[in-house]
Amino acid sequence: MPIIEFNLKDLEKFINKKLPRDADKLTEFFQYVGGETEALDGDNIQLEIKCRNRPDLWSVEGIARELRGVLGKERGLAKYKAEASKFVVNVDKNLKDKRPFIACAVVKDIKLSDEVIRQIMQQQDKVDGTYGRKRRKTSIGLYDFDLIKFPLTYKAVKPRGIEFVPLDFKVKMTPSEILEEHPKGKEYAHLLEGMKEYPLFVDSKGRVLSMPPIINSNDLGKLTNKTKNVLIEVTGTDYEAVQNVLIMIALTLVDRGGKLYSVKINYPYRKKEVTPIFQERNWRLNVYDVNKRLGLDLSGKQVASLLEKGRYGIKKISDKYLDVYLPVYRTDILHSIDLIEDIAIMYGYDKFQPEDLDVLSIGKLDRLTEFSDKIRELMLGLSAQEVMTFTLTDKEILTKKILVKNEKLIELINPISSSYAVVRDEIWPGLLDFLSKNTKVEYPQRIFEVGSTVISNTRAETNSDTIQKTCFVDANKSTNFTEARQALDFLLNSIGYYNIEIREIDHDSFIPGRVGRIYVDNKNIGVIGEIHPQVLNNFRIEVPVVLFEINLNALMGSK
Amino acid sequence: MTDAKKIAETLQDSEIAVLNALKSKKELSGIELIAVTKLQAIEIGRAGMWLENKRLIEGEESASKFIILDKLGEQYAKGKLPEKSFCSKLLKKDKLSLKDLSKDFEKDELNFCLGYLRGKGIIKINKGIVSLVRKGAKESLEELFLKKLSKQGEVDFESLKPEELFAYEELKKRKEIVKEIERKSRSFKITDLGLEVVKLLGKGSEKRIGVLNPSLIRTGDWKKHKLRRYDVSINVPKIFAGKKQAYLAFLDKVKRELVAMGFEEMTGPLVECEFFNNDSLFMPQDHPARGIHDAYFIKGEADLSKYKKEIAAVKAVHETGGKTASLGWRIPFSEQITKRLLLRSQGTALSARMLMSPDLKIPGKYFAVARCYRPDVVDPTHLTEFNQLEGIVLGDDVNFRKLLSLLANFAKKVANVDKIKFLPGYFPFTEPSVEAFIYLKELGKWTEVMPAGIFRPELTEPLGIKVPVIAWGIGIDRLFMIKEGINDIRYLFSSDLKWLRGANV
Repeated sequence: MPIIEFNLKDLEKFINKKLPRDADKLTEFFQYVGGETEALDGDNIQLEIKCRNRPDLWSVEGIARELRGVLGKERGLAKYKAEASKFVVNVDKNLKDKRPFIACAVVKDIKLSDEVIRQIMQQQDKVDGTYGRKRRKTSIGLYDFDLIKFPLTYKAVKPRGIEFVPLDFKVKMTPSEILEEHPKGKEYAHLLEGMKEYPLFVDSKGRVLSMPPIINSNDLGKLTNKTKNVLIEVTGTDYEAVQNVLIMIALTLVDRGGKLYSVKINYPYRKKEVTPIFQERNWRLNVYDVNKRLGLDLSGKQVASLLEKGRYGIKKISDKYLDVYLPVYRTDILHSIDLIEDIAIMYGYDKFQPEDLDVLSIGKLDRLTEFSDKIRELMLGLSAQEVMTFTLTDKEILTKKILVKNEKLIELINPISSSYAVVRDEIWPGLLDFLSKNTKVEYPQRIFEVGSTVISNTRAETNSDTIQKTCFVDANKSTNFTEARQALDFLLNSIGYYNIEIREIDHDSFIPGRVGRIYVDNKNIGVIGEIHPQVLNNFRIEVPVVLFEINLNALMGSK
Repeated sequence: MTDAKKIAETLQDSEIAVLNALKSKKELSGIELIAVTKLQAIEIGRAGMWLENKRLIEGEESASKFIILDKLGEQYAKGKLPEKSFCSKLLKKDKLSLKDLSKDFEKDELNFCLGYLRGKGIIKINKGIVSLVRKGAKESLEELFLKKLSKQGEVDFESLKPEELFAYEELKKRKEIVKEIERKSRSFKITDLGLEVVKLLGKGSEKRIGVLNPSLIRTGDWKKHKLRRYDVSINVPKIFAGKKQAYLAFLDKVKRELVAMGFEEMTGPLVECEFFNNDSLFMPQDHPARGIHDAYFIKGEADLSKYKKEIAAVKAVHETGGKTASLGWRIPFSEQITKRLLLRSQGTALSARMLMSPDLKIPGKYFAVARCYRPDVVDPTHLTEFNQLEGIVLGDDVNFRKLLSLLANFAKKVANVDKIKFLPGYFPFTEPSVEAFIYLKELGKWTEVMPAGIFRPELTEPLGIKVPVIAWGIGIDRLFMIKEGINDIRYLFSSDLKWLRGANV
C-alpha cells in the first residue's frame, strides 16, 4: 500500500485547519482518506494510504480535496474543466499493437516550488508503480511545455533508429543502448520485450521528449522550479486507466493553481479525441439498499448530505432513491455498494450503535478436528509433549537424511529458502529434526504432533490431498519397539480398534526387522518402527528412537 | 503437636542412630560415627545431611591427612620388602656375587638394598661379593607399619606413634610404597533442638515404617509400627508429562468460544488454486498482490470441471460485471490463471469454498483456523506459514451494525478485552470494510487485529448467494503473541523442547 510523504503545514494551508502533531490523533483524523500514520517527524508525515484503488489520494492535493468535504469547507462535486486548445498529438499507426493509448493535457501558469515538484514526482512514482502496474498498464511523463514545439508525434522507432540523452545522463544513446545500460532502461526493458520498434514521443522539430514507458529525455523531459507551464502525457495498454491517470495528475496541478488546457489526439486506428475527458458518470442509489446494508434508518436527504460531504454531486432526491454524480477522479467506483461504504465513512464509524447479531445457528467442529482432538487427548495420556512443526520443510529432511528417495514430494516453484522448499508428506522426519535440536535437553523425550501433510494425487481437484496425520515419538536410552507398540495399542484400543496387525516391511529409515505397516481391520493406516542408527547419526541423535505415524483421514474413514 | 514431636516422627532409623550416637554432646567425625552406629558410610552421609537440614545437628567440615599404601607398597605388604628377601637369600648362601643378585632384583631395588643394609652394618661388599655380617631384626619398623597399613587400609596421620612416624618417613623416601591423601570429613554435634527430639524418641528402639508395602497392608503388620512422617516441604526431581503445545491450547480455547457462539468449522486443502484463493474473491487477475512474490506456486493445474458454472459467472463479473450491478474490472479473465496451483495464501479461500458448498446453510455462521503461506524470510516478526482465524456470517438481516457487534463480541471472548474501536478499512473483497482496533493493556496501546467487512456483491452474487455475508479474518498468531508476551513469532512453532515443557497452557 502506498506511503505518501508530505508536509503537514502544506496540507494545513489547503484545508485551512490546524492539525495535531500526534500520530494516533492524526490516524483518527485521516480515517476519511484511509490514512494511517507511519512516521511523524515534526511537520513531515509519512501516511500510509490503505486505499489501493484510489490513486487520487496519493498526493497531498488529493487528500486535501477529500478533507475539504469532510470538514464542511466545500460540499458536492469539485468542478473541473479544460480549456480548448490547438495542441495536437499525432499517433503513429505502428503503435497499435505496442502501447496503443496516449492522453495528454497542458497546465499553465503554475508555480512549481521544490515541495510541489516533490509531491508531483511522488504521485507519479506511486501511480506508475501500483495503479499503473509497474508502468505496464500506464506510465506518466511530465515536460516543460515552453521548451516544446507542437504538434507532437507519438511514434514507433527502430531500436537503433535515433539517439537522445536520457534523463540524468550526459551522452546520447539509442533506445537499445538505453535498455542495456541505463538503470531505468534495464529495470523496465521487459515491457518492450519482443518488439521490433519502440514507442517514442517527439516534437515537431524531431526532438525526443521521451521513450515511453522507459525514460524521459534529459533535455525536454524535466521539471524545475523555473517551469511555469507543464505538459502531462500518459501512455499505456489500458485505455480507461490511461484516461484516469491523466485526470489524477492534471487535477493535482490544477489544485496548485494551474489552468488546464486540453490536447487533441489523432489516432489512425481509433476515433480522434480530446483529452482529458471529463465524463459525467452517475448512479441511481436506492435509499433502501443503503439502510439495509448499514442497518440505519436514513432519509433520502440525510444520504444526500453524507454523499455531498464525500464530494459526490446529487440530483433528484426522494425518500426512495437519489441520482448520484461521481467526481471525475473517483475511478474506483464499480458498484453502488462503493457509495454505501462512503456514506458509512462520512456518517462516522464511531457513531454506529452495534446491534446484536441474531443469526441463529448451531456451532460445531469439523469431524476430523473432533477426531484429531480425541487422538491428542490420548497422546497426552501417553505422557507425550505436544509439538507443532512447520508443514514446509527442507527436502533433505524428507529424503537424504532419512535414507529414502521420494519423487512424489510437492515442491514449491518459487521457494525463498531451502529450509522451506517442499510440503511435508509425513510428520515424523520433521520430528527427528525436532529431536536433533534438543539433544542437550533432559530425556526421556516423548513428543507427538497432529497436523496436516500433503500427498500428491493427480486425480484430486488440486493435484493433491491434504491429509491429517499424527505421529508419536519416543526417544530415550532404554526405549524399544515394544514401547511404540504399547502406545499404539493403547491409542487404537481406546477408540475402539482391536483388530490391529503389524506387517513387516522393508524401509531404509528403520532397523531391518523392526519396522512394519499398521493395519486396522485390514486397512493400512500407518507405519511403526525403530529408527536406523545411521538415520540417528544423520540427525546427531544419540539415543534410540521409536515412533509410529497414523493417517487420521484413513483411520476415521475406516469406522 | 510440637515441632519437635513432628520432627521426631519423620526420623528414619539411620537418623535416630546418629542422633543417639551424638546425644552425649561429644563431637564425632563421620568415621567415628561409622564405628559407633555400625552403619555404612553412605548411610551416615545421608542421615547427617537430613539431620542438618532439620537443624537437629550441626556439621563442620575438616580436612585430615591419611596414609595409604602405594602400588609397590601393596605388593610388598603381600610379600616381603626387598631388603628382607635380600637377607633371606644371603642367609641361605652366605655369599653371593653382585652379578647373581642382579638377576633376582630390579636395579633400583638392588641398589637400595645394598646401600640400606650396608648402612645398618648387616652386609659387607668385597670385590663384587656380598656377604652377611649379622642377622637383622626379625621385623623392621617399616615392615610393622606396612602391615598396619595393609590391615587398616589407611592410617590417620595425626594418630601416628613416634616409631610409626619414623617408619613412615623412611618409607616415604622410597618410591611408590606409601602415599598421603587428604580427606575432607565432617564432624557432627547435636543442637538444642536435636537434644529435645532425642528425648522424645523414648528408648530409641522403636521401629518405623518408611515405604508402605503390600505385605504390611495385607497382614495388618503396619499397625505394630509407626508410619514415619515425611518432610513434605522438600523439593523433588522434575518430571515432564504430556502437555498441549501452548499455542494449540490457545487455539482450542478460541475454537470452543466460536462453537459456543454458533460457528461451524470450515475446511479445505492446503494446495489451492487461484480460483478459490483469488478469482472468486473478485481479486482482479492483474492485482499487484497476486504476483510471484505473494504466494508459493506449485506445478500442475487444478481440475475445476466441477465448477464450470461458477467459473463462467466469476469470469463475467470480472470482465463486465456479469449479472451484477457492477461495472466489473473490465480486463480479460484468463481461465488458465484460475487453474494455477498455489499454497493457500489467505484464509478467505476457505470461505469461498464454503459459499460454493452444497452443505452451505443460510442463515449460517462458519469459521476456520486456516494455515496460510506467503514467501517471507523467516525472522522474529515473519513466518512463511502462519494461521488466520477466518469467518463468515450469512443471513438476510446481516448488516454493518451487526458486524460491529460481532467484532466487539470477539474482542471480549477471544482477546478478552472490552475496549474496541472501529476505523474504516480497505480490503479488496469487502464493502463496507472495517478495521477493529483493540486496546491491549499488555502493550498499553491500540492494536489493529481484526479486519472485517461485508462481502462485495461481485463476490457473493456470482456464487448464487443472495444474502449479505459478513467476513472477517484475524491475525490470530499475533494476538496470541501479544497476550502471552512473546516477542519472537518463531516460538509459535517452537522446536525448543525446554520452552514447550515450561510454557503455560
